[in-house]
Formats: sequence, C-alpha cells, structure tokens
Amino acid sequence: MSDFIATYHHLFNVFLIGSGYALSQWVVMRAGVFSVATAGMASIGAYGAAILTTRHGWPTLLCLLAGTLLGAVAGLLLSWPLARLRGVFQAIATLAFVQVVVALALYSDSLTGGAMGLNAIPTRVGTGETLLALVLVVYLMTAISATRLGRAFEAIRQNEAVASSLGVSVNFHQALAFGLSGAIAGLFGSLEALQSFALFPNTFGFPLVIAALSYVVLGGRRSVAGPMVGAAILLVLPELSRPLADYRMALYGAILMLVIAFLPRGIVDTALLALRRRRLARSGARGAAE
Amino acid sequence: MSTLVIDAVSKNFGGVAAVSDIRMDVPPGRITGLIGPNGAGKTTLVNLITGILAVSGGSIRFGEQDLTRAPAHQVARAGITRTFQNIRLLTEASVIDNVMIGFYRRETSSAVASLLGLPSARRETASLRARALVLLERFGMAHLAEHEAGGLAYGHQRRVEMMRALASDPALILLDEPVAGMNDVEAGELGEIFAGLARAGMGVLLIEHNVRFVTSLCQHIYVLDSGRMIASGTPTDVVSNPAVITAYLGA
Repeated sequence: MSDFIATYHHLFNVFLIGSGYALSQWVVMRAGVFSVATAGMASIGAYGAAILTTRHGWPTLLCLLAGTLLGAVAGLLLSWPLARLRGVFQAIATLAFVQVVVALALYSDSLTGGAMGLNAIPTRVGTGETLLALVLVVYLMTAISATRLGRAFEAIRQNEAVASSLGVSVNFHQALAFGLSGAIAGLFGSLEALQSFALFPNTFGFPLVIAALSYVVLGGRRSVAGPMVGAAILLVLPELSRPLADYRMALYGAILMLVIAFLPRGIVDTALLALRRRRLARSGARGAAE
Repeated sequence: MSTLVIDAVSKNFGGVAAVSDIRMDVPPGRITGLIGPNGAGKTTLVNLITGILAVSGGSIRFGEQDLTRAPAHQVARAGITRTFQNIRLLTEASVIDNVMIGFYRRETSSAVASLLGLPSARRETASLRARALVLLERFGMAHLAEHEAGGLAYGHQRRVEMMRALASDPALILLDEPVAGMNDVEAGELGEIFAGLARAGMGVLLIEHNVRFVTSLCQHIYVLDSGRMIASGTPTDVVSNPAVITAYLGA
C-alpha cells in the first residue's frame, strides 16, 4: 500500500512539473510563435536555482524567483533575434537554442558539473509548493485568456495582418509571450531542480522538447486545460504498463501523428467545440420553432 | 479631423516600379474613390499607406503625423483602419470575438492588469462585449454572435469585417474592394453605410473596380493605371477622360 502511494505520489509530482512545461509551451503558441525553447529556458532556470542553493545557500523562495527570472530573461533575449522569423524557421532556431544550452551545460564542468551532472542538490520543495506554483500559473493564464492580452494573442495567432491592421503590435506581444513562456519554464525548472537529487544536461534536451510539444498538441492549443490534460495522458499512459514506458518516445510520436491527422485541435478544444456547436444548434432550433 | 496626404509616393520591387509618383489627398467627411484596372497598383498603394509595405520614396502624412515609415500597428493607432480585398477574419473565433478585437486600439487596460486578471481589465472586457453586441444588432447579426466566423456565408463575413473596422472607431477607413462578389442590392446597402460614415465626418477611401458603384458614391475620384495616376477629378470629369477610357477599354 505504501508502495502504491509512493509510486503515485511521485507520478503526481511529475505530472505537475510536466503541466508547467506544457503551459510554457502553450503560451508562446497561443501568441502564434512556433517556439520549442521551453526545454532550454527550463534548463537555465533549473541550473540557476540548483547552483544558488547548493553553492551559495540561497533561501528556497529566492532560488525559485531567480530561476523564474533567469527563464524570463532568456525568453526575452531570445525573442529579439527571432522576431523576424515565422513558423518552422522559429522552430528550428529555438531547437538550436535548446541544443546550445545542452552543450553549454555539458562543457562548463566547473559550473554545472558537466556530463556527470550537478549532484547532491538538497530537496527543498515538494508536492505542495509545486501545486501552488501550478495553480498560480493557471490563474494567470486564465486571466490572460479572459482579457485584452488574450484577445491580442489570439488575433496574432490566427492572422497577423489583421492584428496589426487593428493596432496590435506583433513584436511586443510575441516578445511578451516569449518572456512569459521563459518565466514559467524557469519556475518549473527550478521546482524540478529543488526536488530531484541531481541535474543532467540531457534532462532538458530533445526529449523534453518533444514532450512539451506533445502535451499541447494532444490536449489542445486554445483552452488552458488543454496542455494539462495532454500532460496527464502522456505521463500516465507509460506508467500503466512497463512496455509502454520503454517505448515512451515511440508512443509520443505515434500519438502525435494520430492526433494531428484526426483531432487537429486536440482533445479538449475538440470537445469544447462540439459542446458549443451542440448548444448553438439547440438554440437555433428553438429560435426556428418560436 | 485629419486629411491623409500622399506625396510623390513610389514603390519598386527590385527593378519593377509597382507604383510611382503618386499624389493624392483623402479628406475627412467625404468618400474618395480610387479606381483602376487589375494590376494598376491599387492594393499596393493601400499596403503602402497601412505600413505593410515600406515606401521606396515620397511621404505619407495623416494630419500632423508622419506615417511614411510607420509600421502597420502604428498606422492603425493613428486612426487608419482598413478592410481587406479577400476577407480576412479570425476564422476560428466567434463573430463577437472578431468584432471585439476591433476595439483594441481604444482599450486602456495595461498588459499587467490583463495578466493579473484585475477587475479593471475584466470590466473593460465586459463593456466591450456589450458594445460589440450593439454593433451586431445594428448590422442584424446578433443571432450569429457565438457562431464561428469561418463558417459564415460570404455576405455575413463581409459584414463582420465591416463591424470590426467600425469598432476600431477610425478617423479614416480604407475599403479595399468592399463590394466584390456582391449583387447590386447588397452593394447598394453597403454604399448607404459608407455614405453615412462620411456624413458623420469619417474620411473614406473606396478602392474599387466597379466604376458605376464608385461614380455613384464618390465626390472625387483618382484613376490609377500601371502604377501611375492618370486622372483625377469629379466622377463626370473622370469617366469622360480619354486616358481613362483607354485604360479601361484598351486602345
């Protein structure tokens, strides 16, 4: 029984952190930026928080704030040269950024511990702190969606020419989205660092890029719940049976292909759309009867 | 109210002059027409005014403001709104959301208030939604408010685009072939709306192909052919101008 709780408790933490990365991925895509930089910005936040706590003994809250800030700054800096790029070119450039961060973490031995990893990080946070962070991020993202920023993001995502013809600055909002994405990635990177014993450069490499992207594509790109549902499904599935876990990346790849082909809006958005259409059809039928 | 002054504007793509030495004024309170055969450079000129393309030479001023090098969103903030030749809506968003984005220019909530979901930002959203509904009712589309814009019939999509442009409360509106694909009755209805906007003091630049429609609405018409302004004046002057007849009917 205690095994059961320990297993699922760990899985729940993994889900919380995965959801954070998913929301970091989601918020840039929400503003029409095809960035996959989340993994790199999470790495910067994670190493920052871990180094500050192990070498400099900073208090936990300051470490988390520093990790968040480092991620945000990385995102903002990245948005500047990438403002001219669109679509797949943004994806490739941000993927290159992720590889650069992995390489830097590998080669700067003295700072990051290199390939041997950064070890003996004290456990400073648990489920409570991570859950609190996720609730905070979900609140902020919901607030954005319900107000002016969300409308601007949505307009840019769907049609840049329309957005700018109505006074929406594409560069400003995309930089903001990069900064927010970086802050969220940095926060959850720090949370991951302060609850795992060691950090390795490849924790934040290509597999995390694909995972964060898969959460959003599977769950949906519009509603805030989408990326979290995606993370829940993709993180729980491999735990249900061992063979699935061994082929995790293959499973993600297959699910991604199926979802893009048959549910291009993702699970949550498709369900919400179906609900809305049914409600409209019903009110339309009522209108016709009257 | 400000006048849009286009002075000696030209645009080259590589060695090809798309438009050259264009001079025109679009004053407030009047419908100004811009006509010309296909490929004359009408849409290029609209894109230059709205900051989507950068001018190669000349200047564009709107009242006191110099918009020659202003990017698209600054032109919009200066009070110039456009509609697109091929309708451009946020196809996945609902009709009311499409209209609401039109209010953006006049919104006052800061990015921080929006991010934190402060009551002021939420109140503004609620009041914009109410104003969008009023606009929808005026255009007889309130019953379609929650429908996806991409799924609407062509005529309804045109109206959504018009409502969005009006929501931004412009001082000058550029209408790029607004009645393309409409029959005479529908075009006449829209024409009435345009005339009403001009009477209310708005500057209107009507870019059209349909000479009859333009001559019935405009007090002043410019004629563009192969990137050059070949004539300008009142509708009667313009349609009897030999250069215009040649451009439209061929030599």
